[in-house]
Amino acid sequence: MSHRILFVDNDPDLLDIWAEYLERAGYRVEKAVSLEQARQRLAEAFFHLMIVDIRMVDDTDRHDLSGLALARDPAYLPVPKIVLTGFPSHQTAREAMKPRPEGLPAAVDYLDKDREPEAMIHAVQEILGQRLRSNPHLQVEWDPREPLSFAHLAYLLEPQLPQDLLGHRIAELEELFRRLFLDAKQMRVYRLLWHRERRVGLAVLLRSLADTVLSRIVVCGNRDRLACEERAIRLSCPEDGLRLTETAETMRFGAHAYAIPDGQAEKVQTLADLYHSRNDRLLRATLDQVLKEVIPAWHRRGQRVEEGRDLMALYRQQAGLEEGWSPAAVRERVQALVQLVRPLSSVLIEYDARSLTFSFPMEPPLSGPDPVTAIYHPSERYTTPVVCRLSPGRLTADSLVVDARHRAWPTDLAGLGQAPQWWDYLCLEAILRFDLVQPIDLQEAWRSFEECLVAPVSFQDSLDIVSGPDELRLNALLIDKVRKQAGSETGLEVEPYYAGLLVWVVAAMTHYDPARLYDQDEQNRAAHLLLAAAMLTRRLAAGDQRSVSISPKSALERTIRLRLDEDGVRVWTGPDRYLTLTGQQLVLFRSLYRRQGQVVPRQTLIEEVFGEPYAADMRDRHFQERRLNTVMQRLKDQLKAHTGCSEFIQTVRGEGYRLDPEGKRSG
Amino acid sequence: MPEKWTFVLVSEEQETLWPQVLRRALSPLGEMRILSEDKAVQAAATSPVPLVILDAAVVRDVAGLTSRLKRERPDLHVVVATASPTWRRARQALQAGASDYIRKSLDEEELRAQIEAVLHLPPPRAPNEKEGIRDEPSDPFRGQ
Repeated sequence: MSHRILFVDNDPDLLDIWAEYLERAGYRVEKAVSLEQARQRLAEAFFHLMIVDIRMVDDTDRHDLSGLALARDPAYLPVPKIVLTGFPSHQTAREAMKPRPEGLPAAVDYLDKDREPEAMIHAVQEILGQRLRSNPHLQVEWDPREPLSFAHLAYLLEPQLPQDLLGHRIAELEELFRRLFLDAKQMRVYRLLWHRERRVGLAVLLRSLADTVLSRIVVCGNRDRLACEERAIRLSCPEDGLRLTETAETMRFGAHAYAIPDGQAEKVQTLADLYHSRNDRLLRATLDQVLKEVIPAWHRRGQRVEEGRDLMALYRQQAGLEEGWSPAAVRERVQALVQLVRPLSSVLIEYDARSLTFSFPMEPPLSGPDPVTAIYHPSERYTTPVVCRLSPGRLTADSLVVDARHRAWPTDLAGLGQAPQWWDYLCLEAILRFDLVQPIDLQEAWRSFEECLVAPVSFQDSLDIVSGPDELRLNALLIDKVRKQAGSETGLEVEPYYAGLLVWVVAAMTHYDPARLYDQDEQNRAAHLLLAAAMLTRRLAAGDQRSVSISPKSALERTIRLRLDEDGVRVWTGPDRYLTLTGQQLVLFRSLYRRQGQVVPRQTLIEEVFGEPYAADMRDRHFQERRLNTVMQRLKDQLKAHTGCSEFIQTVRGEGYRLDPEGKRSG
Repeated sequence: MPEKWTFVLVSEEQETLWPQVLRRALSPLGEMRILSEDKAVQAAATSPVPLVILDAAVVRDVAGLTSRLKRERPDLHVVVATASPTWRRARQALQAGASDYIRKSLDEEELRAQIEAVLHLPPPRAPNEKEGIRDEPSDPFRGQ
């Protein structure tokens, strides 16, 4: 491999002579006689090393440090540099080579022009041969069954890449992997798992120096974005999640490698693969693990109450609709989508600024208010404080990777951060509702499928799976599981969940680019999204009408919703109103709050509040229950004194207690 | 960060003018111990000393001792102080892994500022090695 060097000096004669020496030594040298030229080449091309003169503007001006400023530019941080000067001083040597708050020094070496070019060749050889953390011995293989190569990766990461720069990107990506796997002999990329928003997820096998075969998931993308992601991952990832094992960066790209905890040298599959393998038992077991272990592990990292922002805005942010999208642009995409699916079937779809209507032959038409208006103009009931939890981002069928033990791992962590508590569940539902469905006829099946999905008025209601279409029975069954789990964590209220699904659906519509060609399956999916949007807006509007029967003001006066604050100590009871609980009352409240809407047995409460086992002896047990009654009564009194409501905690005879965070003001 | 650091200066046992100035300069940050080369390596290996200052007038092989200290404790900061700075020695020291190469100034404030700046740096690294978390980044969960 021939290394590429950018040589920057304002003296063309020196540049020619020294470059010739370097070329004779086997390097590919590009010359730049000005800072502008240098920046332009850096913006386009890839270099393993840069050599830069300190005085690039005026050789007679001792204050001219313009070349040093170029070397110190954070944009070029991952390019190793040699600083060259005809006027060496300890000050400039120090400025060039001492580490900076960004973590790396501007230059790795500092040379005097008075020395012969051989000294430069020696320094270059030493840096590229020994001091650079790169693995020249890594053999890269691509699976012949996957249409993969560095060139393919380059276009996935930079779709508009001019052809004449392809060679540079290939070299840069190759270098990225050499920097990523310093201790491997061989790397085989066997699968492109996912690619979106100029990021890719790859599955690779490695042979280590000790001949051990290891499995890794590699995520590549823009350097700055991956650096942000890395900080968030190191700070927030659940301890039993994927382990970030290697990271590397070049000027444009960053890469993260992840290992599966206790994983073998195995090939992984995606949730989509598992679905299409039609092994229902394994699919259910994996989904159970996602619902009961993966999502709770993220959500356990804490919670936060968003007081100032409405739920729709939080959902839009999560779905990527807050940056670069306006309501008008989103509406245009929806209109384009209606055009795209129009020739599909006998169903007539009409869309205007007020409504989205489906006219089915032989059946009554189905119409819902405009979904774009619905997601940008939230109804009043979504302005209450929203409980957010840590989310791995956007769960998708291809980024949820399943290992040999059928444990699932989210691998696309670009959206890692706080999200409304329903988000991860509704993303899972969206996978099962829109992505992993068999292509079927719009008119026959999807209407009944969608009707069955928007029927529940609370998370307690089960889906009417029997009346749904046969082809989608498994999906409905799995969605029912997702909702049950969502309800057990978030309470009974299902409408904020529907609202999130609507935002997900509208965001999915914007991913259709009117300029592209879509096959029949993709068009079917688009039609399905439109139908779901109409159903959801209709469902949400019906909810609005129910709630307007009480005017919003009087509703606010009469109901109070409790939220446990992020510090886990204060209970939010209204704007700027907090009740601080302590001791056993706090533990008891947390215990009930965690399972809000569910009946919590007395035994569980006793064990959690007093930290002792439920007594076997009846007399002791009676004593424990009396103590619990006392704490319970004090907690109820506190809540009532603070809010004026007395209906938060209900006693279910013979079973236990249930917390309903929404209390009604008595009297 | 602890409230008070312990710094090590590799210099002669007999305290001359500059070590006295340095001791006063560092006193708001912590205490300073003057040790021989071997004892400094030992101290770096066995105690949480954050920073070792090498007096270039006393240490014969500055680059060698810097490398030795860094081998023992890669996260250690080494600062080389000299009354007669040259670019060659600056290059050598920084290439060996020193975090700074400073003039033996008698201005206490200048010295303290230089040492404080080094304490806020991540440990020096190889050219393209990614560093871990540097400054405590904001917790995305807390959204700050």
